[in-house]
Amino acid sequence: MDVNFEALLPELLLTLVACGVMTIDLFLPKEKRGLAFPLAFIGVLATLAAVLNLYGQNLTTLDGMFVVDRFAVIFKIIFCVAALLVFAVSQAYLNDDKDVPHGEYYTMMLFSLLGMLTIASSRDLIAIFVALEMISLPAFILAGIRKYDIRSNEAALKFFLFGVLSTALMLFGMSLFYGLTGATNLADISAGLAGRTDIDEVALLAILFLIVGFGFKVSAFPFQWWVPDTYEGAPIPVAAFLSVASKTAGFVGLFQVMFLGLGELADMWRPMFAVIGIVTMTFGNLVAIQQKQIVRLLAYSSIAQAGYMLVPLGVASATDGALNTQIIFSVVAYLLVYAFMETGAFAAATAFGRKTGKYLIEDYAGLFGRSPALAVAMAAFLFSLAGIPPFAGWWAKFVIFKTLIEGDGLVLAVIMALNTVIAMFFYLAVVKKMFVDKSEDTAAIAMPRSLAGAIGIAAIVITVGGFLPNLFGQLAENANFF
Amino acid sequence: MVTTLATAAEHGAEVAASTGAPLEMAWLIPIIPMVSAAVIWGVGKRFPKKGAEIGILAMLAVLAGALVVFFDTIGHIAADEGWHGYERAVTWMNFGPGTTLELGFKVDGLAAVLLVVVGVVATMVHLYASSYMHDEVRVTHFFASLSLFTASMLNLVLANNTIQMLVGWEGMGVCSYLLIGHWWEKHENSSAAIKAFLTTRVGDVGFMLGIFVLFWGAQSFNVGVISEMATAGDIAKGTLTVGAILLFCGAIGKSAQFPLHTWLPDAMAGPTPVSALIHAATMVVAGVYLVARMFPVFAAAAPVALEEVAIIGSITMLIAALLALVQDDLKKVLAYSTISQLGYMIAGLGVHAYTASVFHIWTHAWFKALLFLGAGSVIHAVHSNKMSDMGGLYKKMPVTSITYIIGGLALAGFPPFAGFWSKDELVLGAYTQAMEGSGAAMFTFIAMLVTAFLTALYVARMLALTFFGKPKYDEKHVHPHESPKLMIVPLMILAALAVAGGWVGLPGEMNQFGKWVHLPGSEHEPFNMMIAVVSTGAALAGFGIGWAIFRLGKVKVDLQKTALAPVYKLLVNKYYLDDIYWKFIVRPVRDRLSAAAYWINMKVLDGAVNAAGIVAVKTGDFMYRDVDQGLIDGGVNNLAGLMGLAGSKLKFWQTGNMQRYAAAMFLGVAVLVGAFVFFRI
Amino acid sequence: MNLVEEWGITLAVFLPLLGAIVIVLTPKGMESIQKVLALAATGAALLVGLALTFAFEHGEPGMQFEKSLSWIPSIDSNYHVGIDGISLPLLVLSVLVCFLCIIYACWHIPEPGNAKAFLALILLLETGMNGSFIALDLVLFFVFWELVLVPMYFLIGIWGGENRQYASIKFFLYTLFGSVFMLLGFLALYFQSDPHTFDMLLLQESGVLDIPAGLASLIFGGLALGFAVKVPMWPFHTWLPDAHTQAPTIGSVLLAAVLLKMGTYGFMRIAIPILPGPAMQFAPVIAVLAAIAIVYGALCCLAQTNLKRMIAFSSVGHMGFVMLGISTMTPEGFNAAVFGMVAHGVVTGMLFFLAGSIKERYHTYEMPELAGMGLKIPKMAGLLAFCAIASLGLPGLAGFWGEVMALLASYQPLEGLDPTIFRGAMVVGAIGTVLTAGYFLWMLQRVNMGKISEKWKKVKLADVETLEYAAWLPLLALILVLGLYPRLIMDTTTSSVTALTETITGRSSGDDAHVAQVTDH
Repeated sequence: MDVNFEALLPELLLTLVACGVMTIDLFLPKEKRGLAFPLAFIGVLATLAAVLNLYGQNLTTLDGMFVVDRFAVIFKIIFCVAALLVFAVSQAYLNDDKDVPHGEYYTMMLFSLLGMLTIASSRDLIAIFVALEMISLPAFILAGIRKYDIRSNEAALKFFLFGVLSTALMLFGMSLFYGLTGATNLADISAGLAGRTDIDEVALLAILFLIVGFGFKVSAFPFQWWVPDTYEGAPIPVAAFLSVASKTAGFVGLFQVMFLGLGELADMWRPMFAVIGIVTMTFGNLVAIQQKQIVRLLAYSSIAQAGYMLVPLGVASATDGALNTQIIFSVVAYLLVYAFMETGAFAAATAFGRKTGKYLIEDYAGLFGRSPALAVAMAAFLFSLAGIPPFAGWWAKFVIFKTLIEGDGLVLAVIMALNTVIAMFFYLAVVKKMFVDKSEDTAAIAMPRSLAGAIGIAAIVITVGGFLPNLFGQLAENANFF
Repeated sequence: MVTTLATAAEHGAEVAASTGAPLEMAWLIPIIPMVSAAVIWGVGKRFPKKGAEIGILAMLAVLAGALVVFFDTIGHIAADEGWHGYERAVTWMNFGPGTTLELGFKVDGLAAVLLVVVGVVATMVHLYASSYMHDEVRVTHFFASLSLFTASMLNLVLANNTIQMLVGWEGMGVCSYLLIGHWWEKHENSSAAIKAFLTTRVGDVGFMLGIFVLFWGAQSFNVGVISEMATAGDIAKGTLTVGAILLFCGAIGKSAQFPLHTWLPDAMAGPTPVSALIHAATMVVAGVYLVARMFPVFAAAAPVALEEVAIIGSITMLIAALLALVQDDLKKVLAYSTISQLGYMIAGLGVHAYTASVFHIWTHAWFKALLFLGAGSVIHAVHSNKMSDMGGLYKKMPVTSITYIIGGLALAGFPPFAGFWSKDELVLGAYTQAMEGSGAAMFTFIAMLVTAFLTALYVARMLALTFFGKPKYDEKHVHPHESPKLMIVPLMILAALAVAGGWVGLPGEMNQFGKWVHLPGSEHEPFNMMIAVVSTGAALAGFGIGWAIFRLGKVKVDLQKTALAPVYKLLVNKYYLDDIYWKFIVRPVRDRLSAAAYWINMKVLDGAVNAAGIVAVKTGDFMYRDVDQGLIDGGVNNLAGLMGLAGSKLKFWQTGNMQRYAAAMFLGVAVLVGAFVFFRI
Repeated sequence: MNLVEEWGITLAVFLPLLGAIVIVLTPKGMESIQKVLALAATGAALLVGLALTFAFEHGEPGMQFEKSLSWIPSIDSNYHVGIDGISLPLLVLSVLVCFLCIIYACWHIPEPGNAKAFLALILLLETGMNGSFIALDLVLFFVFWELVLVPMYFLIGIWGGENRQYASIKFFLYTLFGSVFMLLGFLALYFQSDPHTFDMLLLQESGVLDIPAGLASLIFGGLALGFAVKVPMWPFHTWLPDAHTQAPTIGSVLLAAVLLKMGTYGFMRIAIPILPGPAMQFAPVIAVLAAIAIVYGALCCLAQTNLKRMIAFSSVGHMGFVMLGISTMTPEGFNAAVFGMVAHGVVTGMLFFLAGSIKERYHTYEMPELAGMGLKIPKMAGLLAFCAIASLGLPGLAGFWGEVMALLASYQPLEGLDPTIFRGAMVVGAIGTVLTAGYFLWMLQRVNMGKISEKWKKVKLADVETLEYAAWLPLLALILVLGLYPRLIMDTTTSSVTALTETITGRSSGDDAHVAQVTDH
């Protein structure tokens, strides 16, 4: 078997970095544990460079299991950038929280990232499964990394049990397809399914099980139960990592399986995604209104966001390649923007909670008076999540709407439109707290440079991207495997 | 759509040939007071008389201009019988392709006559007011408004198109509002001002709609074009009738005709010079002028439109004259008298007595302005509006008294005073039409005679109660004396006009007025001695009875104790019209309908919006507590539960949450499977 | 001049944005520098606006100063801008009013202060407003349209009155609700056009001819909902009184003077020319709603005791006249609408300025407490009377032409529309003018006239101050100038609105399904 090491370079590099960080950390004296951050950060930067090096290439290796194309590369870029942002946020967080072991933390993050990079290139059910597990296992640990915190433990255990359950179901679904087609490679599955008419019930069941697995990853209803508790219990940077990178990985897997493997069965899974998408966004938004705690609010909001990204699959077609291209384009575009605005929001929440130890929305009162820049940035992230110009979120929603209309999903579009109005309700509630209400405490919120940098970069990206959305558009247009 | 349009440029081309320089500059006449208004508002306060002198100067200029234009015009008329005016216009705007609105002026006999009326009365009133208002508050504001009013009136008179007329028309309305409410510290005064504005505005709605109807009928706002097309039959009769009736609504409001006359008596709340200028001599005749100006339209829409005009005018003159009989307030007598006389003019137009009506504008202006200014002089002297506070003033204020009596006699229609000549022509016009078989004209004819009788009656009462008999004022505190010169001189000038002003319309060959103002089709009737005798007889009878009752005390009547008591009560209550308007229109709209609309706004429309928000929140609440948290945590509060069970946390997890989670997830899968299997197979 | 023709409108839009960025970068507390910067930015935009007015070929129907740059190729959207006779007056109105608002802000920054944020938000708002009037690409339009939400939300939410939280959130959600449907309409237009395009002019020329009638109506409905909320048309107006009443003075002024016009402009620029068929179908409905708005607005005004809320409700009625003009689909009606928009902007903007300044002195908007203002601060009272009289539509002042022409036009709507309904609307609207006069005069009686209440007898209040005059004189002059010289706007608009009507007649006549029975003329 020929192995194209060039195609695997980023993954190999990252493996080295991860192992390196783990090993070096063992030998560092306690007071120098902070070194893990720069090492990991530079390592990911190097990986990103390796990824960028692959941009525009088409490589296949490992018997077609592993493919490097633009789709893969662009997602790898997203993952790396998201990881860098999360690292920057983590650094500030970890410096305050003495309980979290630095080396372990970054190592787990790096391994999880490795899984993400892998999944972007996976074109085989087994590879996808393995990659997903590689993402999840370190994530379980990360969720519970504050070992002495009950909430963190609970978060980790819930997350773990659910993850195991859902992956089990997904594996079952995958095995059914293997049974139907005798293949694990997505292209082969697709070929095997073509023209088959005798497989309705089994295929339906199999698809459903796959949806459970991916639904868990992307936090779709009714597989979202773990999300609020886990986000709340886990360190905030981990929550950001889960809600951005991990979710994106789920979407990557979902695209690959649905479009490359099960495209023939689009008529079967299309309505499921329509329903799941609608229910997910509506549920997320309505429940988010009730939240009094910022991380929980962001958690439910991220559930709703997942709904927005799922509905386009509800207009997919078994035959219309152009429409499917548009669907992938729109979701990729959304994910690109989402990576910045969601990370930004979590980063801002970290910045605020880190010093004050407060996570209730009430505590955000008067933030504008205390730290105008932080308040403005947070408002920008929230408005962006809501889809209000001039922040890039408008464009993300716009392309989703465009896709829905193009696929004759007018009803879906209308429901989503109403959802964006409902969502504005709770985003505005936070904005109102920060800008309108007064607080007794007038002390400014101090934050380290890395955190400020992360927030600043995210804010600038979504603002500039709001005026010039083609920065995202060009990338998203390329991220297509058709 | 409008494709072709007859503009004044085409229309005016034929009439512009025979003109001289003064007419070309006629547009300056309204500009002068407009500028003076701006100047007074701007810097008037810095002048010794607080801007009055600027106003007077402007009025003198207006008067001079008006006279020049007037004499030039009658010169043209004398030279050429067929001369029907000079018109010039520029484009004000094009508000659509081919729909042009002009800004222009048109001078003909009618306009020239009105220019003189406005010029003279305005000048007199300004002179008078500079003394009368000397110590009052807001003098500057007062004179500015007067100037602006004059500009608006002149604009109306000279306008060559209906929109421009509307501009002048409404401008007067607002100045009238400002001036009636001049002493706005008192609530009644500002209320009277509002009432005047709104009541006339009701009529203006009709005026405005009439303009629209005629515009779409003639594709033009130009008065000449509309008139020609109406006369030539180029506009459907239905359109003309609707248009004419709507226009007349404007006249009903502005000229205080029944049933919109109720604002005028209240308008007496304003300073007396204002009453003289605006609410007697000029603005209130704007309605008459409007009908006269648009008379070809009314004539072409005959008989319906004209009969309506005649009947409304007749009703008005009668009911107002009756009301004038029972007033104690001197100014209110004059106000109702004005309404009544306006009714004469309107009814006159309704019976084709076109020239006579305009002639009555002319004569009425002199004697009614005189009467008001005289009343002001009296009120100034006794510090009361009430005739029950006057009496015996003849000796104390001779000039005022004599001029006032002249005015009264002119009003009552005694020869040779001005009022006689115009009134006689009006009666004659009604008679002629009635003889041609018009029922409406017959009604008008009778109404005119009765009103002539009533008019003389209330004039006698007014003169007797005010100037004769024993003084009824408190002689200890009130010492009436003649007014200052600035007030007396205008009275004398107006008195002269009240005597001689009618002589331009003497019967027969000597009649100049009929040449100045005439309209083919509504020709001047030759003098009829019988009619003259009958109408004069009615007036004499009325005056005689009135004098006998109120001066000589020969007949003692107390209306309240006779069979006429209900009638008296009806009159005292002004036919209950004000009460009806107040109870059934103003109050319900202002207080109840508005409150209802606002209730709907807040409870229904806004309620729906708020309800949508509440539903969203409540649904979210249900989703969160009962579905999300309820299903999973079984009502156990996460954190509180954890705190309580800190010692046995592992057990806690194992027993409760996770199984529920998993169950929920499987349940979800099952539902999905069930749903899709069910729907697919 | 070349710079103006090439980049003028772009500058008018982005100079304020630049100003906002610069102000944000200045340190806090340098209030006077920030004010100067804001003045410079809006002043520059105003100068550009004036230069554009001079460079503009008045009387030409088509787009001028057009500019098209690639913007978001991934969704076929371009930075395509340009102005015609309909947009120019609104653009100039916007730059002027913004400049005056900044002058006013120099006089007074409302509680709780923070000039930096306040000024920057106004500038951001200006960018959104100006942009809406120049955009010729639906996506671009949408972005500018939504861009005004955030700054206006903050202006109301931070610097507003007591009930500002409710008002600001309601404003945001309600207009967002409308605009998401507008957005869906845009997208539907895109996919119905051939080739797919977001370009307004292309869509107008040929874009969506073959669209099925039912779908066309649906799309029009979506667009109309978005615009109607913004206008606001009855019964979508309930956000307006709250937003207006609670907003700080400058917020109210901008809201009334410019923001509402975005809705009516949307009808004229997008909904009607692109979908003339459905527009003809919907026209009678719009006319009826407009007539209701006129009377209803006036009635609600009569029920108010709060001066500012009354002025807010008066906007409902005035915008009703604008919509009535639009619904006739005739050049006269469209002209009336554009004139009405500008006039309402100037007059009502001025009224809100006055209300704000009165509040600064009396600390209340309640009319009974203001009684006798004519004795206390006569100049202010005089200005209030002048503006009230202008607003009630006195001929010779700005408010008149829009109203009277809208009513005139509704006597004879475009061929194909049933005149009976429009004439009914005309009569109702005309009656509304009486009610309008009623509430304004009643307001003047309660505020200006009467005796000074005990509370204020001994207190000294400042009459109109210099900076206030500076902010107001241009508007006051415009009220007079527009009233006396309406050509100022008409000469610019007439050819463009005629072209607009031709678009409708040219387009809808070919489509028999949309043409109602032809009526006699």
